[in-house]
Amino acid sequence: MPATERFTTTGKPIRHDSAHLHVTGKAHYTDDIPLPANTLHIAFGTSRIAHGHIAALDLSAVVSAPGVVRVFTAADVPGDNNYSPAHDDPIFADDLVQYIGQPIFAVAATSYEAARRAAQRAGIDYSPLPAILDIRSALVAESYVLPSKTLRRGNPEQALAQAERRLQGSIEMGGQDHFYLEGQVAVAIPQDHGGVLVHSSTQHPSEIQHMVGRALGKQAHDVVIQCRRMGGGFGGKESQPALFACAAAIVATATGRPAKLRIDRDTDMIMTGKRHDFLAEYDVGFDANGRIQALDLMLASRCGYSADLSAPVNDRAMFHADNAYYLEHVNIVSHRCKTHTVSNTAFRGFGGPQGMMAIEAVIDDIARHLGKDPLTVRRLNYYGIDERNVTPYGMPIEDNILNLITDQLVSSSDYLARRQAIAKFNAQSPVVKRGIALTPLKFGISFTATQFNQAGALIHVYTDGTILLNHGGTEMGQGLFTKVAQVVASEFGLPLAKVRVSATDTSKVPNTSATAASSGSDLNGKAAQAAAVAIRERLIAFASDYYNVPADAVCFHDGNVTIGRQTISFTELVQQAYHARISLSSTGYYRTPKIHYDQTTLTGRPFLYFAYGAAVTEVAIDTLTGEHRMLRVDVLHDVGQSINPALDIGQIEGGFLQGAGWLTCEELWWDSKGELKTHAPSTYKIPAIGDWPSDARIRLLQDSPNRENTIFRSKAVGEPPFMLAYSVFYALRDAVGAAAGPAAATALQAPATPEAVLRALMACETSAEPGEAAEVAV
Amino acid sequence: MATPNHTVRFVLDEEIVTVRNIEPTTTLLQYLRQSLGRTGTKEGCAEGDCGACTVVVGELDGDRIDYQAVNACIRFLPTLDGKEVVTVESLAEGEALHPVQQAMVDKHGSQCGFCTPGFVMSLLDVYLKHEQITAAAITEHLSGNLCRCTGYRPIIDAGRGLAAYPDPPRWHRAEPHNPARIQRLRSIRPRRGGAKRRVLCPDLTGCARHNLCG
Repeated sequence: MPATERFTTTGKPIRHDSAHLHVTGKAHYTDDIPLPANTLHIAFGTSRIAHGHIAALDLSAVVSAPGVVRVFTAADVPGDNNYSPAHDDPIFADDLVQYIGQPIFAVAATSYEAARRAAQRAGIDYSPLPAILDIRSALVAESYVLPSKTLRRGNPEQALAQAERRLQGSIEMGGQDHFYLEGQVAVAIPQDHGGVLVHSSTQHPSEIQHMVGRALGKQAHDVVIQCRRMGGGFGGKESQPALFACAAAIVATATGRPAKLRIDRDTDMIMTGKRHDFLAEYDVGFDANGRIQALDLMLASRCGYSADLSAPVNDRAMFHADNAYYLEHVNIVSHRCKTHTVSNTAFRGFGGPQGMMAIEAVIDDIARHLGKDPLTVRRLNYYGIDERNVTPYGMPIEDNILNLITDQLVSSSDYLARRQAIAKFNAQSPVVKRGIALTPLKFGISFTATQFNQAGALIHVYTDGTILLNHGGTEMGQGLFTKVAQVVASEFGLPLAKVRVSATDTSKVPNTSATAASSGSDLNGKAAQAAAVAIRERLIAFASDYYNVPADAVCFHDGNVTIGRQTISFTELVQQAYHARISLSSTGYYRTPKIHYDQTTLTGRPFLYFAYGAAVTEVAIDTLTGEHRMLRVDVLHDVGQSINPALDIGQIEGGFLQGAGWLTCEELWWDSKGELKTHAPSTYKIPAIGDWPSDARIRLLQDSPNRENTIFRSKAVGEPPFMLAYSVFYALRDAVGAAAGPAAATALQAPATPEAVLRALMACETSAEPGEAAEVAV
Repeated sequence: MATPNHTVRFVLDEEIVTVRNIEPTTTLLQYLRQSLGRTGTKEGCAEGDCGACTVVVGELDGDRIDYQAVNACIRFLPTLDGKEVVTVESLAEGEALHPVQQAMVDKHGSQCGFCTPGFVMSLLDVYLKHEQITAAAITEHLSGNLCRCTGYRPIIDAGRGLAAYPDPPRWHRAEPHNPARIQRLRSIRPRRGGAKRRVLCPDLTGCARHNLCG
């Protein structure tokens, strides 16, 4: 008899564990936590120039403003004036300012409004220095925040020289603001031992704990970080929240009063890092069919003024510059540009989307150069199963399902017939042109920093048979708490209602990793499972002894436990075990097996496995305005054996549309002084309800459990679906190509705003061949 | 600037709320969150573009009440004088959710949940106005609500499925004609064009009884 009837709660479309709280407004976010009466509110005073020295700082008018209790500058930081593990992000700029919006001081006042008003009254004189504001300027100046890196295999120079065909090109892709609906916020409450409790909206409580401890000149055990939920994260609450938590903690410990720091939307968009914008330049050699023989690729990203997470972000861009394609002879150079703009950071995909976008552009350019359907060229370059199956970083791909997914999707989306229909439509439609694209994705799952691939959990079983579950993962909407609760309920054969998940808390589970890299349920699910199994094994041993039955005659199911021939409730067994003095609490721990990676040679097995997916998108553009609409989207995505199909579909749909936003409507725009002018939803457009395509067919790949031993054979789903949105961008290229020829198509850059579409159309207006259709895929 | 000692009265959950000595630029959102502790209504952008702060405001229109979704973050509190405010906390009856809430739960319409109260209130606006809810009506009414987690599909499905739910005890489609609600609004209807000063409540409890127009 199995120890539990498995999958009683896993594999089902169970609702988000906070859904009732969300819809009634009862769900507490950090901004909703009731505050003690004497709480101080904090606002930052920030730099108005992109680069320069602070010549004079006059804060007398700030200090004397109504409601102000105290003003804090770099001199008031008791410990380390820094909030980043890379140690180059000052909490308060002391002398040098390096971007517009960089914090210089903080005001603590009796109200939020008073603090904000007072912060505006500072008199700051600057001695400006020349500012580098974009990637191209940084490349010219060789302004780098980190050393450049190279990943190479084979002999790309020789293979390029001998290639049948050769093409050079480039693609630019913009950055992206996270636009989590809940902005950055922290509440710090001083503790009687001199330490502090910080409620922080963060994906990385342990790192915040360390940063706060160092800023205060205290130890990790003096600081507790709690986070019940975030109102969205997307990577923007991995490293960024430390600034707000540190400042709040400094104010709280200095004044002995609770301190809250919540920034408004505009400040958030100006002050916090975003997705790195990238420039990719390539030189590719290929045969007459479009199979790549050699690739020389340069990736340059705007990191902003400091390193933050730019090293692993750019590493991941390099690791994903193959996407689904075998690159035998390849040279990838990665420049990490230093600019005097906000320090860019983690964002869903973590550099992967930018690296993959580069190779997709190469493939698309080759196809349009050869006059072939890009899908034909894509498939010709797919990784093989038994050969052509090793990545540029030396990892053999053992779980390749690219062709399985593509075959199913080509068929279910009716791709071939629709491509012909689109050609026919375009031939008789002079203004509106349609385009279609199928793009694949392969995304490596694990932190490339191997040490982060570990997790802990803590489970208490109470004597009334209920369970309190805690783990190191954070809930930002992805449904992690729900999935891990499903895992634990399954291991005990209990209904889900018996399991409650409590807020992430550094004093419960220590030394946790960020909830990032899509790894939340892989890591925390396994850790929680280990804790549950430990308790269950104790209960089995007890029952076996107490009832005198063999251990394999004890089975947990439906809230009951069958022991030999009798069945008792789970609660009854728990109470018997308690009276027999059996421990009903356990930690659980997990570390990802198999992975290793050499930082110097950039080779190894950085990933346990890959997640796959593909999408077909059909678009229509208006060639007079550059506007577009998505007409239909078909997605087939691999989540292994889904723990919760409803949550997984939610991640896929949301990731797809967020990716479509990155590649179409979300445009960050800085003026010539380095001031971000798109710092609110009025000027920065994320997808709205009307942008969801009316015909969307989103499916999970069936019967495809993870080949690796992950939690219930599921696969990570947080980031990979973001890259399904390439199909939108390359369908737009297809439509532009139909209107104005292949050179116009390849001129389209991201984001493909209406202006960008018009620019591409006008770049090559004379080469227009209406109704032109690419060769059909086979 | 309005005179600070004027009184503002509005209906919230069948009670008349009386506000005195308020900064005229205080927003409805600030008042709900900071003064009343109703934190279900969220601040997302504070400029009326993201919809996280959406509430429904009712105004007498002849013999019915006209309910409209508004952004509480850019609505100054004094403009609510004589009106009714409905927030996300107003809808459920005990544990029983309103159809617009239940549909969001059933269709997995919330992920992080921060935009959800705003969507719920915009859906209430659609619900009160339409018997049969089309996809076009949903897109129109929810175009001012941003969600960064979902692809909106489950929210559209929630809206389209509203007809399948039985009438709720509160905030059903007949509410705009509810005599008690209309009577309550009439009782606090502000005098128009008059130069008369209001008599302030002699105690500080904000009771409706004393807040009569003089």
